[in-house]
Amino acid sequence: MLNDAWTLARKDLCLFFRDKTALALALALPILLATIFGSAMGAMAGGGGGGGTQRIDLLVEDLDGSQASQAFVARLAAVDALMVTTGQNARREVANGEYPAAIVIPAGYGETLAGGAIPKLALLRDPSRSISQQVIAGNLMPVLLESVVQDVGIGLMPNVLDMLKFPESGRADAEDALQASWSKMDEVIARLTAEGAFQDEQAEPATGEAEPSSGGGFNFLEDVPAMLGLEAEDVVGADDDGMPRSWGASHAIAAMAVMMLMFSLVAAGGTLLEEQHEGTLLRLQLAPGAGTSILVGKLVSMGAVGLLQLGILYAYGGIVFDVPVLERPFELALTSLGVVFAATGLGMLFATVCSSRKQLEGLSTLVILVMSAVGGAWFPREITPEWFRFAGQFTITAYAMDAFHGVLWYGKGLLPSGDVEGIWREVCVLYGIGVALTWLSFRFYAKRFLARA
Amino acid sequence: MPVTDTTTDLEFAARARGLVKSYGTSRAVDRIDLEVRRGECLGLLGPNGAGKTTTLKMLSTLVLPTEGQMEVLGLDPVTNGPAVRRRLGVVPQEVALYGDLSARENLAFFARMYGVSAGRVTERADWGLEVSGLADRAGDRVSEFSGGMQRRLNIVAALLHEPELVFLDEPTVGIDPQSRNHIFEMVERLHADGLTLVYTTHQLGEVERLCQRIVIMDRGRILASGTLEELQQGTTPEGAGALDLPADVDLERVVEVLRAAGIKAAVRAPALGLEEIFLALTGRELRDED
Repeated sequence: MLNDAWTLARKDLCLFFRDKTALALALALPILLATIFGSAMGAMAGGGGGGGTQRIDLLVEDLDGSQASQAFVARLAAVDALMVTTGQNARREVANGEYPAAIVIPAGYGETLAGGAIPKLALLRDPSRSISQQVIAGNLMPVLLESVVQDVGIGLMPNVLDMLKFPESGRADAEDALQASWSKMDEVIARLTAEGAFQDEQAEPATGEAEPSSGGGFNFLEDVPAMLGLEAEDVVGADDDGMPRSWGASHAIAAMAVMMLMFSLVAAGGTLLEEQHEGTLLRLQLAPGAGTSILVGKLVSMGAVGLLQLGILYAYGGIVFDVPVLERPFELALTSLGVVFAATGLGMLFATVCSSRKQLEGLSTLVILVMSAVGGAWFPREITPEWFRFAGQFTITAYAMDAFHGVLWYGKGLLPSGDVEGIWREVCVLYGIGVALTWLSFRFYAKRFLARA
Repeated sequence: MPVTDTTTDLEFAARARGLVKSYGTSRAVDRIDLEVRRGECLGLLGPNGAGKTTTLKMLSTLVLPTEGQMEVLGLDPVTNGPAVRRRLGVVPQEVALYGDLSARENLAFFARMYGVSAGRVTERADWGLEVSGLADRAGDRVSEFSGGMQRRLNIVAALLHEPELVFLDEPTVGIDPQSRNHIFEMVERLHADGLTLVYTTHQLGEVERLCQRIVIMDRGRILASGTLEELQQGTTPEGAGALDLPADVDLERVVEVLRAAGIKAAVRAPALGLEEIFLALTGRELRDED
């Protein structure tokens, strides 16, 4: 029995090693995925990963323009974990998904500080980007504390001494003592910041959605900003009736739509290779209307299958998870058609390039999983390394995810409307990718399947 | 480029002159002249790698010739691919059907693909089921059929658009005697209906039964062509006649007696069968390449 088993095993190994391309793809896949996961997780964990700690975008809109407000912005900009950009229209930028959060420094900020009071700052947030929110909140705390110490605490010292009717003879010593005490506080904050103590505080809820603060429990994301004078406001995430949306469900629907669609359509494209192997393709090529119509037929059937899959997924998401699939039906249909077109083109390209089903499976798994990872279907792109985001720009997944998020989360239309931008760019890119991949697949098809040489 | 002869379309279903197909430095087809007369069943014989399939592929528009002229049903296959294919039927060597579709679905699909008008698709599918003897299994999946049933369906799938010329590439490979006989009867019926057939096979008995003319190819060249009788004459010494003698007669003694009587005589082997002719022309060494 063992002899037979060994003979069978040897045969299987021989077959496995025979198709060199398929073998290379099979071996490269785990290495590539490990690299991608390692980079992404390393960046999320704040180190390593080949890309270093990922800096989180934060927009600051300074409506005051005073020395004090500029000092505050400078303190923020000095934080390693944050990529601070100063600009305008903070609400619009966050609502359009350009930044995960923005701080608005109101007019009069400097005067309020000079008066010894803690000024109110507005923190505008996109609750869908919860990991970014946690990083921002964790890094804001020391900056705000330092600001209170530097600008408010020291500024308040004369008032405090006045209130205490401190004798003039000891006033200088008292001020020195208070100054030393505040300076000591600065050192404590600096040390805690260096130790990452503020980040550790928010480590517990590191994943998942941001939920509103609800009675009793301390919610770091809600309560810390409030304690430090920040008035936090979620600027997206409600439907037309003001009901909160579920980011997780919307993201899951979008991610699954894109990834599974690509897998399914690449598999459907593989039927071309099956037909070649089984001889039916030859019989079709002998038909009077043979030629590219065979490929067009495949594209149509694959597109129909893709749209059916998406339709069922949307219906499920709408009914079970209240994903707002009917809020912008035109944009959703247009996006879906674009994604299906691009994915169909990819499937046909693979089918016309690969010479065996095994090669097709290896190549498609590799490419689709990598595209899903760097394109934002697995983890938010803003917390991934720079090379990750750069690579994402060349994937169907990134544009598909942005378009789906635009429709299902940000409620965007095709064209800009008021403060809300449109998804026309993403949609155009998807259709452009579809055209390019389909054109390439026709070229390869003509070369490999129709050549009469 | 068409063969330059205005009578071709009437007399010949297909003709080739100086046809060459080269792949790199090797010639799969080496300057052959071939004629397929209208209404005949032509047997195309040759060992593996003889160039039969390449020749048929060129005639059926799938492959471009390197050199030479061709004409199929009065058209140049190089420049009139769709028009040639509309009037040509090709039965591929492998069963080329969709296993997950029923027999009727397969026939209806191929009828549409081959340009049968929507109104006649059902009629032609019924015809195909009837001719192949599968009318009672019309709704069954082809994957459930035996090899012989699949082969029969494979043939009629190439005939649904009522072609004038049909290439049958080894249509009886690996099937039981009953199915083979059914296929022979189908081919004979098609021939009787006036169809022109080109039949390639390794089974020499099939050619003897079905074909009026035979072409023997090897290494890309045509070695011989004609009726079986013509081939037999071409490979045996000529003579005035033959004597039927008992098996135990000493032939040398008979020749001596005849010569003594002033009659020219010689001993020769009996008339060769097609298999002997085939081996005499193509040799006895194994041919494993396809």
